Amino acid sequence: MRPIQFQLNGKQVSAEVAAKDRLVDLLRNVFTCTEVKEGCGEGECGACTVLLDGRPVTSCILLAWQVSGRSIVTVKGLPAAALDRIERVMKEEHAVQCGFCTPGFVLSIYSLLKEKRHPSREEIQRSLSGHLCRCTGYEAIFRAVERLAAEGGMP
Amino acid sequence: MVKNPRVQFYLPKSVADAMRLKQEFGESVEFVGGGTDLVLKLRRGVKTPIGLIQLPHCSGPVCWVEDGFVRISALCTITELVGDVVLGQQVPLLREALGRIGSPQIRNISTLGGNLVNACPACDSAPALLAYGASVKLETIQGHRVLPVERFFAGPSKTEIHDNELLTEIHIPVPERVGEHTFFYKFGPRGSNVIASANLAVRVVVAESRVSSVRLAAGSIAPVPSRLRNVENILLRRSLDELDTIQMKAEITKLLTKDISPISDIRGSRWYKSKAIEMAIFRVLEDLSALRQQASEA
Repeated sequence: MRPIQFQLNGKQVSAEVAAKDRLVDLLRNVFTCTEVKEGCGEGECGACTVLLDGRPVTSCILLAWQVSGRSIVTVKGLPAAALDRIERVMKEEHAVQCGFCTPGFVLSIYSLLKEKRHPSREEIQRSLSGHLCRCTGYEAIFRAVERLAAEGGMP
Repeated sequence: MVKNPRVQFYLPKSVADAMRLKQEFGESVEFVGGGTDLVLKLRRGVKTPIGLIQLPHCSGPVCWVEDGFVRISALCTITELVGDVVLGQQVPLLREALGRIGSPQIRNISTLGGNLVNACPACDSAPALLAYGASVKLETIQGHRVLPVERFFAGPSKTEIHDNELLTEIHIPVPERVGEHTFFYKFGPRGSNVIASANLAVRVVVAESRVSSVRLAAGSIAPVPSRLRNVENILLRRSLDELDTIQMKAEITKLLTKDISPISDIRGSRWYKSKAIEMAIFRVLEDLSALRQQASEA
């Protein structure tokens, strides 16, 4: 076990980690970031997505010490104004059912709209292709992203 | 959860420091690029290193042209490579193949060097690199050597890389762009985020309505990503009129059995993989033949 430091949702934090500890376990078990969900554990489903230096990555196939000195943002750490808007539009478009995949989707949607003001349908699908949702059939989620873009993107 | 708690991790500040650590510990330690494949192998006990060395993120250029070669940093993330303007202009077939690796989240962390040293027979980048005649630069603190990608893979999960070497760059002879046509096919149960059941990269240069240069390379159809040399030979110097014909297709069906030897596994049966590659080649022939018709109509 060795100490590492990194930024978690804007705050400098430190933790003792072993070489084979995964980021998802560190976030959930040590920092109680239970909004980070573990689905497949193999980087296939996207439920455990977090932002690493602003880009979505799957925390189940990242070792905890790899984020040493870098910044991690979970859905709880998004700017309140952005999270509120995504939340409202996803609700209104029925883009959420059971909710297990939602924190991951929200982070990829935020990251996409930060990078691109008016993504095409194809760009939206491509950006979200690393997330599985077994409830909504995706269409409602794509619609929500299109509406978010049309209503001015991310603050 | 942790089988061997004594495994050490290292976060060197420079590539040189990373290579010095590797020199010191040898095969008992592993370099970590993105780690997206390695983490699964660690957890399944397929790999049992006593130390892990995180490679520093590439700080220099992503892709540049020098001395007749397109040079690409192996330490950059796939996302950085896909977004690079020079790479997109010079080697569009590679850009397309890279864009089909894993998911956005995986491309955001994984590296091209990692994709290659992982030596998965289904690797998406390798067929494109083979189609370009690419080489890899293998570096130690003492010096470096350059090895063609064609000789780099030694079997599933096996490469010719030495214990103290690090794959730092990919070199591609600057491709001829006039008359160049490229094709990339990836077959799998889903449209994205899959390991290929079979993949095919094709690069053809057409001059005066003839195939003046052609390379085909495929993945998931042999122990290592491989060129389809027999198919290449029959296509070379052919007129575009001769490509999309019953005779040519029959010939290719026959020759393919010499070029590929897929096994039946969870990603598809031997029959399916062979058929997928055959159909993809036929589609390429049809597309090239359509060029001929467009030219005569114009």
